[in-house]
Amino acid sequence: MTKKLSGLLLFMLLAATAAYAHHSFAAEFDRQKPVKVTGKIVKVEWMNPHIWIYVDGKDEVTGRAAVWGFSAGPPATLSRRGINKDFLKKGDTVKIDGFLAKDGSPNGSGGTVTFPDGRSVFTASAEDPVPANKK
Amino acid sequence: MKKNFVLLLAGVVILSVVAISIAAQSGSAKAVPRLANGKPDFTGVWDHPRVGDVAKDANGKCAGETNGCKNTGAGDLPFTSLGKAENEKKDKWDYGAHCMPWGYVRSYGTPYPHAYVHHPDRLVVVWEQDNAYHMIPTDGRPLPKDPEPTWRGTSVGHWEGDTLVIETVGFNGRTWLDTAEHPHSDQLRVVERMTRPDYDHINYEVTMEDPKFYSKPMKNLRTFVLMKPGQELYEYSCAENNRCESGNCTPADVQK
Repeated sequence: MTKKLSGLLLFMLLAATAAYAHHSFAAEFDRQKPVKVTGKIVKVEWMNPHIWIYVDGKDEVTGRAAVWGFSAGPPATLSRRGINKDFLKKGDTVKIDGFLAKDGSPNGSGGTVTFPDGRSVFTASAEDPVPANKK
Repeated sequence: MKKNFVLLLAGVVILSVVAISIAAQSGSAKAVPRLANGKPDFTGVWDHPRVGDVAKDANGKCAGETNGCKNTGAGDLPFTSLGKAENEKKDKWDYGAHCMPWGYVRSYGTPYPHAYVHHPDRLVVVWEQDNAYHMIPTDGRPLPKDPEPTWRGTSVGHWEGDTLVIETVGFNGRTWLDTAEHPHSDQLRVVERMTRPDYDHINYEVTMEDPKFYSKPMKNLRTFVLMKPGQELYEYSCAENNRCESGNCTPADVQK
């Protein structure tokens, strides 16, 4: 438990300085279109170049319900912060604040993940836009 | 009594000097390792500053979460009219997002660390980004006159005292200097000067000359930090799950 907590703390401390830039953000996501999706995690792809978190839920900005996909940091960066593939579990309820994919599909950059107990982690890059509620 | 006190004082002074010198030999005061030819050995896993823009400074956290990396950026970039036009092109195609090689200069600015494997006759660079490598012969051979154009160019290195000087030419002109999409042409010439001032650091100076796109050479001064024992490079496979190429996302199985 202590290990888990210290891992989380480390994550929160370091997340703001994270840097992944496999892609240029603007090529794939639209910073003018924030999304705020609450739902249950249905799948996590712990893969390069970015992990993907899939959440079955509703976007509170537009009311759109879907299985949303969110692109987050790469496995190497997360691992160096002490976050492993078991950090986000299938069935966990989360709220994800991010930005919509440019093609309008139910995908986004995963800016922030918030758990029901209030724990909140910034999962995108320091170079990517920060969702407004985290500024 | 007075004599005993002087002896005691002398003992304390001697012990203190010994303790300080032992402390000085441990930790970061370890000697810089040397190659068989007596030159500094750069072998190790090194963290570098994340340089998303060669014009700008970067300080503090390194790409791989180590502390103490730095970059002094080039400031305003001196574009030629050709370079300016290239830089201002709309909707540039991000070759990196399509899993093409990042190129020589940009590889050193990535959000992942790199490693050196050093021998007297060559330096091997291994970047975690794309799991890419680059060979730099230091056996006295000259740069080839007209090398085949490649993503990371052709390099040779030579020593000036304890400074390793690396020259690289022969670029295909398809890469950028950084993620800020600053272009370079096939005329790019890169000169790097590397020293290891102490066990834990490399001072890295990179000069980028490209008369086609820039009117004068541009320089970055960077500090690399040795990663902790046991920290290694990770696997990196760009094409594994590159889902939103060019902004067109492929639905995942759970979204179909």
